[in-house]
Order: sequence, then structure tokens, then C-alpha cells
Amino acid sequence: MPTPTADSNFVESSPLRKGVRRAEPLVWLSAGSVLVSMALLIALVGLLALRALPHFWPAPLLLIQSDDQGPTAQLGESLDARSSLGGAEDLLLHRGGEDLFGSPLVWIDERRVRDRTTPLDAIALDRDSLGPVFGFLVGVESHGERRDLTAQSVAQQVNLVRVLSLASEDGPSTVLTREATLATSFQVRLASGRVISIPATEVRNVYAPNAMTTMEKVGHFFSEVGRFLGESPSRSNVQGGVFPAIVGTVTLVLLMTILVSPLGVLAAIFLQEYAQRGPITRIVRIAVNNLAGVPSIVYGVFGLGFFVYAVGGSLDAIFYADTLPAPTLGAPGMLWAALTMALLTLPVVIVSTEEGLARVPSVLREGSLALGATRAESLWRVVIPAASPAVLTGLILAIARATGEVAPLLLVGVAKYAPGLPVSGEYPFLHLDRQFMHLGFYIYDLGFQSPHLETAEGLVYATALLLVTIVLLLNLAAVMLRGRLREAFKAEET
Amino acid sequence: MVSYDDAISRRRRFKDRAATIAINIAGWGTVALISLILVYLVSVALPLGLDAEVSPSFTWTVSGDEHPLIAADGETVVSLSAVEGARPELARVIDAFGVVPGASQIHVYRLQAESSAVRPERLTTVAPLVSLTLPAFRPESLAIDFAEDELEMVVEDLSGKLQLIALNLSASEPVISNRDSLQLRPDMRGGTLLPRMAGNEVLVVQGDRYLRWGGVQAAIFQAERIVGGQLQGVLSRVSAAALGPGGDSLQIADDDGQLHRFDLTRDQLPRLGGSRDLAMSVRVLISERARRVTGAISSDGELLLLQPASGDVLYRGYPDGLDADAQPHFSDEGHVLIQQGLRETRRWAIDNPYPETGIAALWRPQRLPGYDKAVHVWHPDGESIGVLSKYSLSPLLYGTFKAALYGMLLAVPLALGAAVYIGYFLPSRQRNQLKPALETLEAFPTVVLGFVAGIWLAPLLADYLLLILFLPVIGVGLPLLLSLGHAMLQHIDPRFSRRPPRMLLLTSSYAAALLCLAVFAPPPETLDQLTQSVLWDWFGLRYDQRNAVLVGLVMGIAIMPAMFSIMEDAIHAVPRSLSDGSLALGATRWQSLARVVFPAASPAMLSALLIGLARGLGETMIVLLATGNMPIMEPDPFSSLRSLSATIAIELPEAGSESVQFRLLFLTALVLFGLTFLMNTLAELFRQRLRYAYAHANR
Repeated sequence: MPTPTADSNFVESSPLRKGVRRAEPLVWLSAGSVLVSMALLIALVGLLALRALPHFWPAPLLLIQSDDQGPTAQLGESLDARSSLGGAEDLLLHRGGEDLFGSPLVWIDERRVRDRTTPLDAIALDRDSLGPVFGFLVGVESHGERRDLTAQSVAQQVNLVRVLSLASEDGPSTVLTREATLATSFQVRLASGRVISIPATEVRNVYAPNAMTTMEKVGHFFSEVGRFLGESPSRSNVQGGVFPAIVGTVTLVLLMTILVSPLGVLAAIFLQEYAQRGPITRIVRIAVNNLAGVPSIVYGVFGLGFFVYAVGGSLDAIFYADTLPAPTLGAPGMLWAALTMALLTLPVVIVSTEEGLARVPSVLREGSLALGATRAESLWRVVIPAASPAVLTGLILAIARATGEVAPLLLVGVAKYAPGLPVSGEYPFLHLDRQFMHLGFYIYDLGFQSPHLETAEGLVYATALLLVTIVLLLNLAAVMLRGRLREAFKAEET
Repeated sequence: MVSYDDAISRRRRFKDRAATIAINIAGWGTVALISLILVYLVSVALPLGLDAEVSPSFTWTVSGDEHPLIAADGETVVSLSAVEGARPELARVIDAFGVVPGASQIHVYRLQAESSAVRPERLTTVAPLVSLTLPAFRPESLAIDFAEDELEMVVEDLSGKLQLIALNLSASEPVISNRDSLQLRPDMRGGTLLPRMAGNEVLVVQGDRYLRWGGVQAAIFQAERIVGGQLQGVLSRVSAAALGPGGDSLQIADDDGQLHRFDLTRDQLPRLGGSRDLAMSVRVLISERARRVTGAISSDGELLLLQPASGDVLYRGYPDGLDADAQPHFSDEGHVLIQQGLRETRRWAIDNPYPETGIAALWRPQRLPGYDKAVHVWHPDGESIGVLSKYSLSPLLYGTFKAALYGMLLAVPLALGAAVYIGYFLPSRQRNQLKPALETLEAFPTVVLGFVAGIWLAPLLADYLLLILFLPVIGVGLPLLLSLGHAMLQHIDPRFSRRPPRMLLLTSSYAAALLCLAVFAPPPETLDQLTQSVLWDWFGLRYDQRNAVLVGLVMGIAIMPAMFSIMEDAIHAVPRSLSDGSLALGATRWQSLARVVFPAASPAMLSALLIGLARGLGETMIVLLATGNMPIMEPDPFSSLRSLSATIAIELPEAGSESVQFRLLFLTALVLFGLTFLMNTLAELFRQRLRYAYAHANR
């Protein structure tokens, strides 16, 4: 350490220096970086929420009359605005009807807009496979007989469509009217004036967003959230819900936990309690620590080469030789993904458990042994209970890591669309050989290669928000558990 | 009573032993598992570096009218039916066809055996598919090429005229699709003929002179186009000439044992692409069609196998019975060398599965045809003849480090600043709240970060580039301004608060600054012009929408928390008494931090940097979604890049489990594993040093 006399910084010098020192600019800077980091976290979550939640809220339907290439009328939801080169705004309109217009998206030049209204009688018809249609309901057709509906109020129209399309799905029901059982299609007038016919079987939901009250909108919002969580995706994943992805993610994480916890905890006990302290234990400990820092994709490569091709391929050759060359276990699937994830999270569990074991005071161990307990007994009855919050923390951290991790799954089992769930009512109930859908992969897939991302953007943001919420909540739980554990032992030590 | 106790204690002992065994199995199992990862990755990647082996595999003796011919698959062997005047020992073989010259006829055979099993005692005898009549020609000048069902044959006749015949073999009856001739100048006679369907031309090499006949750049053969001249740089006499692998270059060996390569792809003039000393007097040059392998045979029967782009020597030796006088050729897949002789037809097995993945090929620049200088190119999926795979891992490693370093650019200042403030300046109650909150960011799923970068931030960055690049200036400038203001206030009135409400002031001023920026920002067109004139015109940078700066911005968020956590731990672990001592001696808080706490914590700081870098190197999803994944090696901050991890994620699901690419991607994973393992180990050692130091200091 330099002596004060040799170092001018310890001696008051020029007033400028004095000023700078008193101002402590670097303290301000470091405070600024804390603030920026926190702001980034909040901004990220905020962005996700801001983009995700409007997806469920019924957007008003805009009827836009413009002079673009002759007088045209468009009806749809406004998605985005960008300023064009002339200084005016361009408006991105989602006009629905993928089968009717080619592209469901259209840019509208604001300078050519003559009139924009939100007509109260505009309705949105959600269809199963072709996305929504926006228009005005003009009639209903049942077995060639057409009935005009223009005179009815929009609420009556919506109600009627709902009743009729529900009937066509579930078969005639006693409460329905005569028209209901006979309805085959609806006549919808598009903004252009063209009238199209939509089969009742295709309609999944209908609503009139412009005529909705706030309460109805809130109801719509929650029913859409329910759909998002409880339904399967449709239209190559750009519509519908993420239920199979939730099931896939949860199954994967549960399987992984079942695989990793006994091995991880026992290995930690070995390192901490049984292994002789020496260079080898030290090397093993460093290796385990470092394994946590090995990129996750490397585990995926190992999983694909070793688990899928080497182990799975050999099992196929032994047990499923009659179905070869079509692979049964020698292809990416749930089992291999869970094993890979277990390997990936093993260091997390080991490190956390070891930390917990190290914090258990040796007095407890020695006391138990002195009273005549065997090593296993004192471990099982005294040490592990005392370390259990740490074990649990490790497991939660492992689960959080596995939930958010996608890279290795790209190689060992995830699929863009899996026809069957990994868990089902048919034998053998848990389908370890199946590929599965995953929340994280769903985001990657849509973000990376979806054709009409604009219409699906809300869905992806919602999925991202869901994933982030799960992971952050799990982490919060781990942090709180760890805090409690540390405090408990601090209290004991004093 | 005694026996009961005994029973219990026996059961307890048994349980104890069982537990010990289970724990030992789990412990050593974990150790084995860790080693297995490494061993398995190495075992898959290791064969890539193996040299080639050549061994004689079979010899068929010509007896009577039976003349065996091996097809280009290396497996099918047939016997040619005797045709008057034919010279089977001068046969040329390509794909499923054999072409045998006669005195004034060319016989085309389809080489298909009835069974694939080679049984030398009973060879299938095949008759010519078609015999074409030509004026009397030099039979040894016959040369052929094949692509897309079209067989092209060239011979030089005795009057010095080139005769070209193209046969279309897609139908059951062969159809002549092109027939042409060219009178050669006397000095070009007797040269090597090289039909090249990849360029729709015929090359003639005589001494150091060359001639290109046909559509040099056109898609079809144009007989009226003739270009000729001297091969620059070939000083002594030419001893052998052949097309290079894939047909995209011309290879010339001279009497000094030099191998010269001339590019044929872009220019009219064959340009010298590189020379290499083979240290042998070359008599015959041959090349594989689908891989970068060139074989050279010397007059004394020495065979050299070479990767011409990298210069890796794959094999050098004297295979039994190799004859420098007869023209050999490789099988299509390069696993067999075939020589049709006058008395014997010989076959050698070549065990050379990975010729293009030597150390030099993977990491050093390669001289590839079509490039002006030695380059690194990753283009693993070349399949068709004429477009060969290019394997260089350098651009991927470059991209990996580029992405990680741009990430560090944001992460290091943020992590360091936050660690200092939370670990040193904040009271411990606030520390206990803020630290976990920041560490939560570490668990943020990177796929979400990548998605936000690729979908939301990328267009924003493109529109508001200058404004976003200006944000760090605000981030640094505002705290400095505030501190200046505070100092001035204190100067005016010394009683002014020594503990200003920093966070509140900073939050409000940051918010105000962002609001100002949002309100008074110039419109995108003005920004666009400004960016255009400053960045693109002035600095000459290129802009890809997904680029290194974009990935750095988001990667920074991903690697910052881990670094922060370690740095903060380190600063906090330095005993307070040290810093208190310096404060008591009159140092300011900052001086105490910089001169006392920092030096003590520096090993852990270094360890944090290494761990941050390791995380950046291995990050996959962010790089995958935010970089555009173009494997280019450019230092430009706004150009695309491709990392090792992203390459694995994109290509491994598609690569066959036996392919070169599969093993290469395992090598890639091994490189990533090695890099991160090394960095983490170093980091761990540094950290342990700190721990030992304070284990004593705290006592």
C-alpha cells in the first residue's frame, strides 16, 4: 500500500480536485448502473405485458373508406402505424379473411382516407382453420331457405350465430329453436359489399366489438385468456391456444425433476459427507461447478448423439427390431429430452445441496453419531432435514432453468406441432417416445419463421409473458427459500 | 432379547451399508457421467483428423476376350464384350458409363451388373449401348465428362481436329444432343483434353498454352467462342494437367514437382490461384468429383493424396502395383482407386472418409476457386457436382467471439457499476432487497430475450439507430451532470446535504431525458439521412437488420446478472475493517474503494469477466434469433454473424448421423465445451484464491 506522503491523492490539493472528489461522480455513475439494470428488467416485463394483453382485448373494428386505386372500403383491426416517406402515416390493417384476400394484412395510406368509422353492427367471426372474418351479418341459410337478419339488432344477431353454430357442433339440443337445428351457413357482407357464405360448422366464436360494453369486453378478455391457456393451436400455430405446449413443458420438467433429484442429492452427499477430502474431490467439485457453465447446446449435442442415436438406436435394435428402420426410441422424444435436461440441471442441484449440507453445523452430526446412530441414520434423520430447504432451493432453481431452456430441446425432442400429447388417457398414458410441444420452442418457432407474424404477434408475446412469469415466480420462490434457510441457521449459530 | 437386538443392529448395519453403497454409486456415477460427455464428444469428433489409408483390394486379370471394367461406384465389375479394334485399357469411366475408344469408333457401355456382389470368376458381359463412328483419332486423347444424364466426349483426330460429341442418355435410346469440331493450331496438337460441363466448354492444355472452346460464361456450349493464351506463372514444362475437384479449377503439374491451380470460374483468363511444391515428379493428376481431393502419381508409382485448398497432405506412399503409365480414377465416393490396364484391372481401397477436415482446412484460410484471396468459408451443404462443401470453422468462432464481446461491452460496465453500488455503498438492508431482484434477471429465458431482440428491437434499431447509440451517452452523462450540480450546491453552501436522494434524482432525470428524447426526436427521415451520411458514407459500414450491435444489446442483459452476482459477492467479502481503516486515514469513499477494496477483490473480478465471457460464448437462442446467422468474418458492428452454437442448433437436426457435417458439428460442440470449461476453471481458481485470502483475513 502506498504511503500517504508518496501519494498526492491523500493530500488536499487543487480546489478542482477537491470539488471532483466531493462530488463523487463515480458513486453517481454506479448508482446509475443499478437503476439502468432494474429499468431493463421492468421494461422487458412491461413490454411483454403491453404487447400481450391487448391480444385478448377485443379491438375495435375500423371501417375505412379510401381513394387508394379507386374508392375502396376496408374493415378490420388496426395493428400498427408507420410513417411513410411523404411524412404521412401508413396504417396496417388486419382485415381477416386469409382465404378471401390472399393476405390478411393491408397497408393503408392515411392521406387517401376519406372517412373512418367504427360501425356498431360490424361483427367478427372467428373461424377454426382460416382465421377471422370481419363484416356485417345479413342472413342465415338453412337448407336452401334464406332468412334476412338485417332488421335485427346486433346483439340478437350475435346471439343467434352463437346458438346456431353451437348447435351444429354439438348436435341438436332441446333448448334450441327450429332454425337452429336447421342452420347450415351465415351470409356475411364484407366491407367491399360482397356477400359471402360461411358454414356454421366453421364458426367458433362471434362478437360485435364495437357494440360491446366494458363489462362484455372484460368477459371477452377472460374467455380469450382461457382459450389461450386451454386450447390447441390452429392455423400452423398462429391462432388458438398453447395448451399442448404447457402440457409438454410441465411433463418435461416433472420427468426431469424425478430423474435429477435422487442423483443430484446423493452425489452432493457423496461429495460433502462421504468422499475423502483430497485433490480428487476438489477436482470433481470444480468439474461439477464448471458443468453448470457449459453451454446448454453442448448438452443437446451430447443428448442427440449419445441418448438418441447410441442408446435409443441400440434399444431399437434389441426391442423394436421388427419395426426398423422406422425408429421407435432412436428418434428425438420426451424421454431423451428429460434425460438431457436432467444432465443439464444436475450441477445446479449438486451445488445447492452441497451448500446446504456445508451449512449444517457439524455439532448436529457429531451429536447424532455420539448417541449411537449410524452414519446413514444421522444423515437421514438429522442432516438432510436440516439441509432440506437448500435441496428444495436447488430443485426449484433446476426447474426454473429447465423451463426457460430451449437450445438443447431443438436437438432432442421438441416439435413445431405434435399430434399427440405426451400424457394421455390411452395406454401407456405417458408416451416417452413422442415428440412434444414446448412454450419456449413455440416462441422461437413463431419468432423465427412465421409467415404472418403480425397477426400472431400478440399470441407470441402472450406465450413469452406466460413463460417469463413462470420462470420468475419459480426464481422468487427459490430466493425466498434460500433467504429463510440462511436466517434460520444464522439464528441457530448465535 | 440379545438376538432381537442383534437383529435390529444387523438391519441397521445393513441399511447403513446400503446407503453407503448407493451414495458411492451416485457419486462415482456423476463423475463417470461428466467424463462420458467429454469422452463421447471427443470420440465422435476424433476421426475427422485421421489420415487416409490406401490398400490393394482386388485385381482382375485380363484373359482372352474377357476385359473387366469397374464402374465409377467402385463396386460394379463387368466384362466388356469383344469389339473389333477396341482398346479397353484406354477406357474412361464416369457415373454408370464406360467409354472405350477404337480406331475410328467410340463405344459407350452402360456398366450395370446383374447382382451387386462382385464375383470375379463370373463377370456379367455387357455389349456396347451405342457405337459412334468418327474419323480416325488418337485413342489416348479421349476425354469425357458427365452431368445430368448428358455424356460429353472429346477426341483429337489425326488431322488435328477436336471432335466433340454429347449424348443424352435419359431416354432408352441414346440421342446425340450436340456434335461439333474445331481445327487446332499446330502448336496445340497432342495436348490434354478436358471437357468441362460445369462451364459448358472444352479445355485444351498443351505445354504452358491453353485453349478454351465453348461458352465460357454462357449457359450453353457456344462453338464460336474460342479463347487461348499462355498459363501465367508456369515456367518449366507441364507434365500433367487435370481439372480440379468439382471441375471448378485447372490443375497443372510441372517438371519441378510444382502443382499450380488456375481458377476457371469467373474470369475469361484462367488465373493462377496458387502453387504448391509436391516434391515428386508428377506423371498423372486425378481429382475426385464431389470432394476436395487431388491425387498425384509419380513416375515411380508414388501416390500423393492432397486437399488442394488447404494443402493438407492426406496420404503419401507407394500402393502395391500402382502403374504410372495407365490413367487411374477415383470412384464417385472416393473410397476406391481404379486402374484399367492392358493385362490387369486393379482396385485399391482408400480409407479416406474425412479429407476436408484437417486442422489447416478448418482453421486456416483456404485458397478456394472463385475467391481473390485465401478465405474462410463455412458452406457445408454443397451437394451437386461443381458446388463443393466448404468447411471452415473460423468464421463461426469469429462470430461467437464477436457476439460475446459486444455483449460484454454493455454487460461489464453495468455489472461493475451495480456491484460497486450495491456491494459497497448501499446499507445491507437495501442490499438484501436489491441483489436478489437483479439476480432474477439471470433466469430470464433467453429465448424471450432473443425474440424481443429479433422482432421488436431490430426494426426499432434500424429506424432510430443514432438515437439508440446516443442512449449510453445519456446513461453516463446524466449521473456526471447530477454529481457536478451537487458539488456546486455544496460549494455554495457547505451545509448542503452530504447524502442526496440519489436514486430519486437519477430516476426522475433519466425519465425526463427519455421523455425529451421521445418528444423532440427528429423524424425518422432526418435520422435516416444523418445515419446515411455518417455511418454508411463516411465510415463505409454495411447494415444488416440483425447485427452484432443488436445481439450485443440483448446479450449484455443476459450475461450481466451472473457477472454482477460474482462481483458483488467479491466486493462484499472484502472485510469492512480494511476499507474503514483507509477511510479513517482520510481517504474518500471512492479512494478507499479503488485502492483498498478493488485490489483485494480483483481475482474475483477477473473470474467474473471470464464467467461472463463464457456465458456469452455459449449463448444460443439470442444469437440464433438476433444475428441473421450469416457466417461472415467482418469486424463491422452492423454486420450479421453466425456463432458456433447457432450453427449447431440450425444444422444438427438436419445432418445425417454418419455425415461429415455431423462429426464437424460435434467438433464444434467440443470446441465450445473446451472454451467454456477452460474459462470456468480459471475463474474458479481465481475465486478460490480470494476465498483463501479472506479465510485468514477474517480471523
